Amino acid sequence: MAAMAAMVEALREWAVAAARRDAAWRAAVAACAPLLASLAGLAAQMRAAQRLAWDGTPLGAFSELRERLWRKQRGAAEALLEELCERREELRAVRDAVGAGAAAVLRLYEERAAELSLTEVLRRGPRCPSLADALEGLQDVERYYRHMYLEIRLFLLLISCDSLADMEALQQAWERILERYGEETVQDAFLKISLFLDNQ
Amino acid sequence: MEPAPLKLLPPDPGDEGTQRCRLGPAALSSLGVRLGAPLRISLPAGCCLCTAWPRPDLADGYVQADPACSTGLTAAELRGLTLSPGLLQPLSSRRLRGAAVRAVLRGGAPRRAAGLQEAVRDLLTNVYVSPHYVVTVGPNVRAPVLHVEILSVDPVTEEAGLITPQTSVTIKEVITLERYRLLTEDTAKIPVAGLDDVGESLKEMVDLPFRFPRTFKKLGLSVPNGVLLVGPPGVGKTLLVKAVAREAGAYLLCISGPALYGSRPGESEENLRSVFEKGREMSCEGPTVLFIDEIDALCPKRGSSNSAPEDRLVAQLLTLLDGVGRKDRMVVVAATNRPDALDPALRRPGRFDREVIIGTPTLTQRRSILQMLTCSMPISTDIDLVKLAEMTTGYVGADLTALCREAAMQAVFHSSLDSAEVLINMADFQEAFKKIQPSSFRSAIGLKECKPITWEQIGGLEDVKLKLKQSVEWPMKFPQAFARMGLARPKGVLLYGPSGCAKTTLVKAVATSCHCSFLSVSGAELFSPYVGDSEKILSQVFRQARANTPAIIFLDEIDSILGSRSHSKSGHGVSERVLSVLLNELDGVGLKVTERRGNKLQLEGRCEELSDEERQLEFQETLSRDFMVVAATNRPDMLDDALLRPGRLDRVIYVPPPDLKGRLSILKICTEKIPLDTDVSLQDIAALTDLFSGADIENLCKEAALLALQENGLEATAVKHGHFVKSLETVKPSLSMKDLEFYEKIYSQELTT
Repeated sequence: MAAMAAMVEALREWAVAAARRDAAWRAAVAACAPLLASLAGLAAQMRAAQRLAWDGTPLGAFSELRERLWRKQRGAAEALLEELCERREELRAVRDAVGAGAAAVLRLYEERAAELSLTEVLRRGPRCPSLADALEGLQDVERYYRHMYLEIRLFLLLISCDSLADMEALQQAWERILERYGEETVQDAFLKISLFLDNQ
Repeated sequence: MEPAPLKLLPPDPGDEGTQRCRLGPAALSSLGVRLGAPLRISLPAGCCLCTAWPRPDLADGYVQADPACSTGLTAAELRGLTLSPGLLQPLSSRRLRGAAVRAVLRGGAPRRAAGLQEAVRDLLTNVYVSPHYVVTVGPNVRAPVLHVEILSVDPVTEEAGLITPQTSVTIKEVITLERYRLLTEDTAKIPVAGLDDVGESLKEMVDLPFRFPRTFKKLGLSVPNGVLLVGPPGVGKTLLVKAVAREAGAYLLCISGPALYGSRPGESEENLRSVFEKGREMSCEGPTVLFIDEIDALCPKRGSSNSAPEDRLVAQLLTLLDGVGRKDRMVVVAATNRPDALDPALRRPGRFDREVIIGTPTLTQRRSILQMLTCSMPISTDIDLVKLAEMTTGYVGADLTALCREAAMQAVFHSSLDSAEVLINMADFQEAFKKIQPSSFRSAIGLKECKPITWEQIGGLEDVKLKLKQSVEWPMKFPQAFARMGLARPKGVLLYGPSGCAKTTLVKAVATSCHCSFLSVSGAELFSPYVGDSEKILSQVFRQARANTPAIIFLDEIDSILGSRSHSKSGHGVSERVLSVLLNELDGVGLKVTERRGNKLQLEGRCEELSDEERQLEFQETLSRDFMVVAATNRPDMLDDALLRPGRLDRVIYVPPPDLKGRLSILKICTEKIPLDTDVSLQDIAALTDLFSGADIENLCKEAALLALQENGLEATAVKHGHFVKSLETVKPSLSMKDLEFYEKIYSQELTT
């Protein structure tokens, strides 16, 4: 029974920390959206500036204007990208923390597995999931963060001022990623784990 | 109690990429593993590394496995199996310090994808791996990597190892999906026979630069990287390239004309450029062969078609071929059967460095092709492959394949029962031989099918028969004896004599007695309203004969085809030009390069190693690598002198009208089917038919039989002597003393000179 108690304790600790971290994750992801919208808007501006026939306008008198505007826009894009990188770092921190926590719980289970009988691990009630379900949820959450972080990172790496058309479509691409990584996976797992903890 | 077998179900969609193996509680407890412990599942098609988890419904008797980490299993191989629990093997696990991997890029992903290292690490985190297992990334993760193959792990273990965030993952190699497929798919060799030397040199070109890249760099050599294969259809050009690519493990990129051509202007060129670009990319990883089949369609002579888009495509191909330099180690192989239709700019070093000519297979090549084809067929012991190879002159690889298939079909027809023991015997091959014609003969000019005639069916003329046998049949049948005596076979034979004296029939008998290709050309096929066409047709006939050696070319009524330069007045007629072609073909400087067959060095290099039998075969092959011209005429005085000198039509045989003995034997042959009365004396009739030619005698016999029918009504049963005598009154000899004197004069002239 001691082993079960230890497992419950470890899971409880992890769940509390993970819930907090999940909020941070959501916040960081949500914070990315306006930044991407600004980047897309900027890309539209840059494209418009490129297409403009400067010499035909009164602005044509300022020969350096075009160059300077371009530099300015590039600078703005860089700043936005930097901010996105900060958000990415936040996501990374969440991923690492949750991953480390999950690994610790699983390691504890590995160590105490001999003391836990199979029936104990698989025992579940009508409203109470088993320890196996809880551990499965733990793994799912960890994988969810890992894969979503991977995709977000690859997505951000591909942003560059050289392909403005792609940059304009950033928001749609971002939406697609969010769509594929719905919140249900994490919420289901958290629910399962909290139900398991409540019934011990 | 023996544990019950487990039914393998497809994995849940939610479990994709999780490496979980869902088991019932009974199986879990019998295995005695904790949750999440690694298991190895051995399947018929390979192994799969999974972690043990209970099924959500805790049902027993089923197993679901996610093949995320396996030895290259696909979902299709996991369908409909039942596993005995013994196939699930719990593994001990340890955390890995390091792992070396090979990453396989998703199709279309750039080679130098940013963040590849980290992506691979992230994908492998918390995955159990073993050396030589492949981790497959599911479709629900958009990563540039599709497969990760584990090359080695540290610490070395054959059991499962867990990759943690602390494990250092090194990417040893990055390859594209196409190359990976090439490496994993089964590498059964495509059997090719008879093209060993060509295949060797091709393989060398594909393989060497990758074996010794530094040597080539140091020597400052650019490896030859373009080969043009030239040969008639069906000799195995495409097959050879495929086999070599398979053997050398090279990626084969095929270009086909229809796929390249686009509707928009410039689209075709763009497609061509992208194919070359792809080849260049692939060649960074390993040997690559760019194969352009039927290049004559893609690269015809410029200027002749007056079509600008086509010329642009040719120009693009030429520039791209020039661009294939030392840096990208790609071999360009092109195949064609119409080398003359190619743009001349294509055929220079730097574009196609080597031109390999694959001719119609020779006797030894045919034997080895037949050996290769029949090695997997149940053939009976009475089949003599050498004899079969001798029979199949002019057959190319494709024809031989068809022949073997047809023989197998014959064997199936014979054994009406569906038994497993069907043996293919020589009779089946004989039957198939009648049905399968060599493909080079399908469009041949002057190929004749004649009713077989034996020597015995020609009466008399014993010494002419002997001479013909000596000059035509013996060199083909007994080449050893000729070689031993230092004799060269005659190039050509001229038969002359009065008409109706069996010249054509003699040639038929020759063709029947020595089994060789028989081509007969008459004026109808030769002459055409276009200038130069006749000459072309004649030289094509000779080309066909050379491709199908041994062969006999028969020119009947040669005087009408050729004429003589001295007798003709104009000096610029068609027949003179045809004559000059014939003289050249008979005794020209040499062969056209594109008509080369077999291997030049075969006889010189390897003679010592061969057994007696093989040596004899090669010997026979070299001797029979020739054709013979047989001409017939009844106007020998009209022929050009140049034609009759030694080296051209060097045997001149006079076919005389039948003498008494000859006439008797002709009569015997002609009356074989006619019922004769007892009072008929063939001896007497023979004596009466002076100056009759063979054809006249045949006519006489017919007349007599008809007369018998006329006199005795339709119930006539026998021809009487009187009928012959009576018909002799109507049938007059076609020869006259004057004619005979003329021929005799020429004959005696010939004897004296």
